[in-house]
Amino acid sequence: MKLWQKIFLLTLTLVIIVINASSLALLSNNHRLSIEREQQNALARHNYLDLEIKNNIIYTQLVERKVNLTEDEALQVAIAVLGRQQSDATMGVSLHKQPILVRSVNQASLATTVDLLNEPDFSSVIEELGDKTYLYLVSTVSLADEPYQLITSFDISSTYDLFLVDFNQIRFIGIISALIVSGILLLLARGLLKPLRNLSSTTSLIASGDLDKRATVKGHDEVAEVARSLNTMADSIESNVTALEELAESRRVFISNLAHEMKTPLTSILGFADILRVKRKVSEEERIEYASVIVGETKRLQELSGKLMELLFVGNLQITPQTVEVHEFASELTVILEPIVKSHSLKLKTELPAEATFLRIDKELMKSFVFNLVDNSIKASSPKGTIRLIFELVKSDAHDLGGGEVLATDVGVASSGEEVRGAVGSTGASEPAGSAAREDSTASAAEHELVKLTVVDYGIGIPAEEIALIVEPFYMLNKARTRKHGGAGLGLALCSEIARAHGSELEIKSVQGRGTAVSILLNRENPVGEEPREDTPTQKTPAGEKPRD
Amino acid sequence: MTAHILVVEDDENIARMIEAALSIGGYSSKVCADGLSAVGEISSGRYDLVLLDIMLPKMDGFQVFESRGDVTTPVIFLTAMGDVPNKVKGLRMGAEDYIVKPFEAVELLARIEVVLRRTLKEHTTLSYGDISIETDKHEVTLQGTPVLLTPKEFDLLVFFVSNIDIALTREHLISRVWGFSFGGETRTVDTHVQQLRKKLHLQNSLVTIPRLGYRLESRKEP
Repeated sequence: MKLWQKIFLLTLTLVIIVINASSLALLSNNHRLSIEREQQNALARHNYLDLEIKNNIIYTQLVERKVNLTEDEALQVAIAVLGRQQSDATMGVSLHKQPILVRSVNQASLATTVDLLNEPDFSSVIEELGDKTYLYLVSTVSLADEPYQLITSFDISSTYDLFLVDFNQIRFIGIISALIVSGILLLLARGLLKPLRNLSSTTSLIASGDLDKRATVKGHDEVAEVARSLNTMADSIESNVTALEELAESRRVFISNLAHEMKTPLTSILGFADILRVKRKVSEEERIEYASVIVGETKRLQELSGKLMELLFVGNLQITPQTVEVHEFASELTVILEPIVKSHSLKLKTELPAEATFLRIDKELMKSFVFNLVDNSIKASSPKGTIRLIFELVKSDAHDLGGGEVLATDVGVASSGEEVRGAVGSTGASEPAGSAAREDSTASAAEHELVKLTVVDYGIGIPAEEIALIVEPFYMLNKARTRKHGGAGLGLALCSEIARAHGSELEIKSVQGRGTAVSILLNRENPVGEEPREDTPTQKTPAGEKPRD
Repeated sequence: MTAHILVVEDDENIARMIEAALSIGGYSSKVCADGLSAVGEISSGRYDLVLLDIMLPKMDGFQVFESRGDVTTPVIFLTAMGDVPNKVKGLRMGAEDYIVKPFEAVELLARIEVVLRRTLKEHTTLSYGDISIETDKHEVTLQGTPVLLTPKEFDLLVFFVSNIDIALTREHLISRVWGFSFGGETRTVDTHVQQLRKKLHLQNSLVTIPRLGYRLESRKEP
């Protein structure tokens, strides 16, 4: 049963019961009162008659000048009084000397006379005879010291008839009012529950997948509250579904790109291997050429799978940060980077802050970060170029300012006004981390310093419209150029993941034909009192707590 | 068959591989690394066939195909996109064939040969030593004497003669001569090869390559 039907039926039943019960109570009270009035009336007349008999006896005594009348004489007087009542049809009278009826005037037949006569002294009784109702009063009259019963009867049918008429009327009024009330209730219940019905249809629409449907919120009642909650829920469902769809889409794109990136080297490998297999005569020169391509392309696949593993690793695992001194870290990096950069006829310039500066980073990941950026820079640079690796101290309030000028001033584009900037987070997921870091930095702006790590090259640069795309996995600015260097287009995607894992984000500034600066902001670690933590992993080791247990 | 083939492929190594494969098949070729210059090359009409990659810089393969104008040079699409909609799209546009990367060199040659045989009507006569084959009439003569071959034997012979000095695996032979739906055993190939050797005296030139298949070797061997 629907809620409105329940409310309607319950209220209707209640209303009908209350109306009928109260009118019935009123009616029966009225009826009782009118019967009492009839009784008093009857009693007065009965007493009057009784008095009349006594008065007449006394009067007769005075006229007859007798001290006492005989029983017969007294009876005569009483019968005479009764006889005078004949004209009054509203009252019946009878006189009995038990159990014999002496005289009866206008008296309706008395079924209960015998019982009445046995009543002591005085009593009254109501009795129905046919369709009439009578009130009987009985009293004892002494005639010449002999007890007689005087019975008077009054027709009180009209009172009962009136009661019946009233009762029928009330029943009729009750039915009419019940109909009216039920009509009003029906409208009210449906009207009040209409928002609920709308809500229910909206809910089922949302449930069936129509996620952009919303309930209309009107007023401040409970239904409006439910509607508001429903809308909030639908909002979060919708955003979750959208996020899931986006994730699925990005994953689909990633996989299709991956498949494509794998097919390209595979095509060369399979083709050359097949030629080596089926060709009858392969010259030494050809053999070396074909096999070299196979080896080179296989290395490319190897590189791709390595980068994929790294990407997976950074994406899934928590970093294990340790405190690292910038000068030491930089020298570790240059030992490895120097020969690589030199082999491409390029120069590596490292710029460091004067004072000892500590960072709390995952050393291996950050190394990978720098290697990937330098690798990109090598690919972008032409021979005899310079690659700069810069660590600098930045005030946290200068968050949005620094770094770009490194490129701008040195390359001399600040005046040309075509400097291109773009801070690129890897995905939406990096935002909370970034904003959290920002809040943190503004909280203690005065003493809190950041370390900005930047890799700058003066190579081909990135077109403005491609800066936002460049961190996408498999995105390559120049495929032929990237592939020649064995790249898979995953380097910056990896860097962006590493930045995200450190609660920061990549900042890429580039001018086409001038060069590129990629940087990351890291929190500077205060070495005082922090030193002992150098080799402690972030996760709590149970060893320190065990003795207490 | 010295058809001139244009290879439109942006990956350097794949282009080199295709060139090497084509040279085995006896074709001359030219490589073109982007879509824009490919349109110009195709329009020159100097090529008998175009191998066209779909993912190209500047202009994709479909666009190149559409902008080549009224040049009727047959085109085979080469692509890493192996999905059906792309395949259908390519073929519906009027491409002769569609090869999905990665592919074997022999498969590429076989597909090229089919397309060229269909489009270049003058290449109806093949010859190998003293054997000559009329492909349109299904006639084979050995030193001028007609030799009776079953249809399968004939197809097999044509495939061998068009791939001289290339080792052909039994799988290649089956897929080209019997079709991909052939459910029989590779032994069927062996019996047909025996028949060809016997009927055309090829015992010395149609050699068995262990663990691989067969190869028809060029005459004038030392």
